[in-house]
Amino acid sequence: MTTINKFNSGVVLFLTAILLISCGLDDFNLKKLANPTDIVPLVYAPLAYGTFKVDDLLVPPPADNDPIPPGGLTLNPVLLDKMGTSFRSSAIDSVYLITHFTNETPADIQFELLFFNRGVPVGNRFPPGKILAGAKDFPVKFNLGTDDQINLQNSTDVSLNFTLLSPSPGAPILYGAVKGKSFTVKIGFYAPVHLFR
Amino acid sequence: MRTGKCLFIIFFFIQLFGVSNLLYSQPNTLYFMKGIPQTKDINPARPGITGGFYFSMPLFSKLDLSANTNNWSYNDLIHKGIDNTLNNNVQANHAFWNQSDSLVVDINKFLGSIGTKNFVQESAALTVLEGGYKKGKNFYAVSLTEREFAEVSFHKSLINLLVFGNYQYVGRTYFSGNLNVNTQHYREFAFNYSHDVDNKLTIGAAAKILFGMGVIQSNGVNLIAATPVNGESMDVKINGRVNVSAPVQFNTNPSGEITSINSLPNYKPSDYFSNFGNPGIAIDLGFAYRVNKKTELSVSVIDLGMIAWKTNVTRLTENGNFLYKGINLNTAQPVPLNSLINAVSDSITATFKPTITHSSFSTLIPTKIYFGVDYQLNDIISLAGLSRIRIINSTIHTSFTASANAYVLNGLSLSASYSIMESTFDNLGLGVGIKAGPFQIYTAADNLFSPFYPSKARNMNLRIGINFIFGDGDNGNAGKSGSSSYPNCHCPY
Repeated sequence: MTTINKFNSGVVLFLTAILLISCGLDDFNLKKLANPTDIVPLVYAPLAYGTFKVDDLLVPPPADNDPIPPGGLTLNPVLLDKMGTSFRSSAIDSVYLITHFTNETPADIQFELLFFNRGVPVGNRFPPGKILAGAKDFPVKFNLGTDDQINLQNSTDVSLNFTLLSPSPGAPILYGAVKGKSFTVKIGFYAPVHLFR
Repeated sequence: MRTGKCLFIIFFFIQLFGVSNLLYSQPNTLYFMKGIPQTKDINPARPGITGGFYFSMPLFSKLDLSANTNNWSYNDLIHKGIDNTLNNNVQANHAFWNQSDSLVVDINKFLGSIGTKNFVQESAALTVLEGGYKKGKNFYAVSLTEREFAEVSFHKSLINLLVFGNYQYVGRTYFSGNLNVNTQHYREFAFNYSHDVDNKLTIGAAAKILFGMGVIQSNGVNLIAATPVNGESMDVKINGRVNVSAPVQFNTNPSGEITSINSLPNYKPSDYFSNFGNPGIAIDLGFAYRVNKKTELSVSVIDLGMIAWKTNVTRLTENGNFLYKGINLNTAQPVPLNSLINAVSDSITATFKPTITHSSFSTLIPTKIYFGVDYQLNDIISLAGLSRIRIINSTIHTSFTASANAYVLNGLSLSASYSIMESTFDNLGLGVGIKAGPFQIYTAADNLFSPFYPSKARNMNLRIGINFIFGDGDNGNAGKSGSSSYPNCHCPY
């Protein structure tokens, strides 16, 4: 029995020694995990896509033999009604919209992104992108900073504006050459997302 | 409330010696220890006694604790000091982060430490009853052990996705690799038998009857996502199966989506511990062969078996594929974003809705294979080498242990070992067994220093046990077991 007691004492002493001498036990105290280290993955997702025939976006359409004017032929905008949708998150400081265009028309296309609140433009205009005739999967990137996201949040509509331009101003393209043609837009986004914010 | 308490107790039991402190199965050091009956646990042909009988301390016959990773430690993820992921300006402007006693999550260090395939594993086993008897050339033993283990294995690409996001995979196909979780609790009744065939060969086996208590096991859960260069779509496939046998129920809504999980009503802890509805079987096989007077070879296969899970079974099977392209702008003018987003969300939810069934399933228990060679240097000391092979997540993991083993002072068993485990080279182990009269206590660990630096440990294991051995000694009928008559024997008596 004495031997048992001695050994039990030895075991207790050993375990006590481990507890006293062990280094780094404090590392398991997750209450000290005070560092707001953030993980910021770049998240990508497709947002929207559509293929638009030119004459579907012009009401009323011009005559077939009308040339595209020097300032361009503005098509009816594609409106996105965002009522009931929130695009603002404190976890996201900036969002990059990446649009890919495939332009099957013989005209160049100028593309603009605008926010509207019940018909009134909200925020600054983004520099437009120009897609050359025949371009395929041509990328145009918009950077939406914090202010832009607030504007987007406060808007009721997002407007995608398209303007047809003759590639060579000296040789305007006739409307009849473009009216049956179409272009495709694919919009995706990527954003650094602060997971622990 | 009662079922919640019940679940807590069950969970506590499963995790009793779990991942709270990084501790792996029986230490390799134990394999060649002299005079310890439980060496039969690693090779049933090495019973450790030459005659007489023994029984172990009731309720605390032996305890095994272990944990290991594939060469990364807790401190690789969480440690004191400044987070390396922050840039210098941020560090300079936030003195608080410079405090040495604050903990940081260091994802960069963690990513640098892990391999392509990774795992973290813990196990615990408590033998509550054990006894054995050796007479002549035959050895018999029985034991009752509660065992649990948990393994999580994952690919580095999964962490990469969480940390860096999916943007880097635009234009490529992302493959997460399999995420596997396997945690089991089972009860083991073991019946050992070994036989000295002649002076050179001893064969042994253990038949184990198992009763599963609880399991959560995933099978090949993985994610594949392909996005073309123009980013126009994401083709997402999620496959996998999760098998559960536990006193829980998965509640679903009419469309079959899981809405909540709760414990079974009126389920008591006693219902859990008295559950004999999940039977299993396993065997241990081994032999020890004396090549010459000084050299012995031994091989064993431990825990080759399975459990059939039949009670409280839930199987979740996912085989979803969704091609997400975003919102179709050609639907109407103006495009109603809210309703279209909701429609997309509903289709994703409907696509990735696991199928729930309640058919029985079976799980394997982790099998280990040992190859040992023992060289008797003199009457007291032997030198030994051991290789252990495990298969985790379809990958073979091998460890090597070299040890010096002695039996001195008619009761003191000593082993010192050095192991290479999971690409770690700092594993100095020790085994000590003390016998005074019939009383024997022994302990062994493959990494003596890990308990002192648990947050830096990659491999930790510990075996401790108490025996009462009677009538042991060289009775002249011990076959090749018996140091006096057979000086080359691994057994000291």
